[in-house]
Amino acid sequence: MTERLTQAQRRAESTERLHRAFAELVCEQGYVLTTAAEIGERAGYSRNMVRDRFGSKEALFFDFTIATFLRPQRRSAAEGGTGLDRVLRMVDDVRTQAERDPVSLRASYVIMFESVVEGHPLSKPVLGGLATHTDRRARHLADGIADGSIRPDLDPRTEAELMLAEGMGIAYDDVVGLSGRPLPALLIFWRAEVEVRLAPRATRAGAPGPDG
Amino acid sequence: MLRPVLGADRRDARELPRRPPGVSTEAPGHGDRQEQRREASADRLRRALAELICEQGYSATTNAQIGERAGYSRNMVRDRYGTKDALLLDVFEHALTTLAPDRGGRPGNGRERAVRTVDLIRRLAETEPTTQRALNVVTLEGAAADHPLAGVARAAIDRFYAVVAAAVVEGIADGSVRSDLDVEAELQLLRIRITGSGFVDAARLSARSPAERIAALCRDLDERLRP
Repeated sequence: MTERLTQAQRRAESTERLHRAFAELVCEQGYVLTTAAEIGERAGYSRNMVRDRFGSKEALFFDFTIATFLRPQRRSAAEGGTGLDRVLRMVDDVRTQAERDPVSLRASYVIMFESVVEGHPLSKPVLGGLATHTDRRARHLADGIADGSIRPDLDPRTEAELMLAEGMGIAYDDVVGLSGRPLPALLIFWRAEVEVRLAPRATRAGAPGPDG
Repeated sequence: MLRPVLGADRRDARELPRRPPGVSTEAPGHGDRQEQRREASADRLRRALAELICEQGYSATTNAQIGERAGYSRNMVRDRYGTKDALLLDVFEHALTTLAPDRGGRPGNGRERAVRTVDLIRRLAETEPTTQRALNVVTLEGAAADHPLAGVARAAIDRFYAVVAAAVVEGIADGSVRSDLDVEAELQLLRIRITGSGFVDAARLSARSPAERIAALCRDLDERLRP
């Protein structure tokens, strides 16, 4: 069938191609060094396509982030279950993303890393987003302590920061290829470690924590 | 001990000479005073680069800015090191060799040496916080595959964990590390914790200081390794 695409279909397809080109180029050379013209050309369009469609590379980043991460996460209905369930679901959501679209996930990691540089154009939204993410994790941990699914001697804030560090360490491993292990395997390894660490004492495998 | 390599293949990092030409400590036929002056100016250039990385990143920093920040001419980096990359290698090298874990012998058992190696990061954070932050920023800034900095951090990280792994294996042999330890899994966990901590610190996402965070990781490592 040689049915012509509707305008909406063409628009959706070109958006998808621009998102893909953006993610690939960020993985290869980072956000700062990638130009709007390169993204347009990589996607198979003109050098002006990003500007015409989104206005700027930064606006494309926000569109990409909403489509790739925020919409799917909202659908995962993160508020059900025990506190432990919710903490672990945050890990599982990343694994789902890693299996579905590893390039987009890796691109977002590269941008997170770059954004620690002072004056990076995306520092505020990216690091602010991670701070919000960590606050949410601390709340789930506190809920888990209250409902008995997480050991009571943990400090939710300290544990949330440790999990942020571990998650970002896994992200770094994925981007740089430190261990050579695929991201889903790293996430399964991490989830198992977190599950043992958070379990209430009675069900833990006899290993006391560093302070107890 | 750790010699990061700029521009090397990320999976096959080759070693470069320890020091770039022009900062040799073995210049023959010259007095101590000239040698001291050279070391002092190298130190000022390293500090200037570290400060500028913290302020604006590595990519945005120019040779001219480094020379002027150090109190010299715009050409000083080029004259002394040739390139900004060579100076960066010297910053890595200097930070890590001056903190080498086993200078003056290898006291203690394997577990203690493993923990002490990780503790070097805390010592660097306490004695040279600007350098430590700069190394974190560079490591993250150059993470993209084809970035000119790709390979620098990877080589440093690989060397660092090779030292820790050797100490852990020695600890199993001397009885200071539990014999049923999964060494590969333990090092994997340690590596993600430390590289991730570098991010959390560089991004200022923790209320605790880098030194406090690494000290907590060291205490936990010691617990996990104990028989």
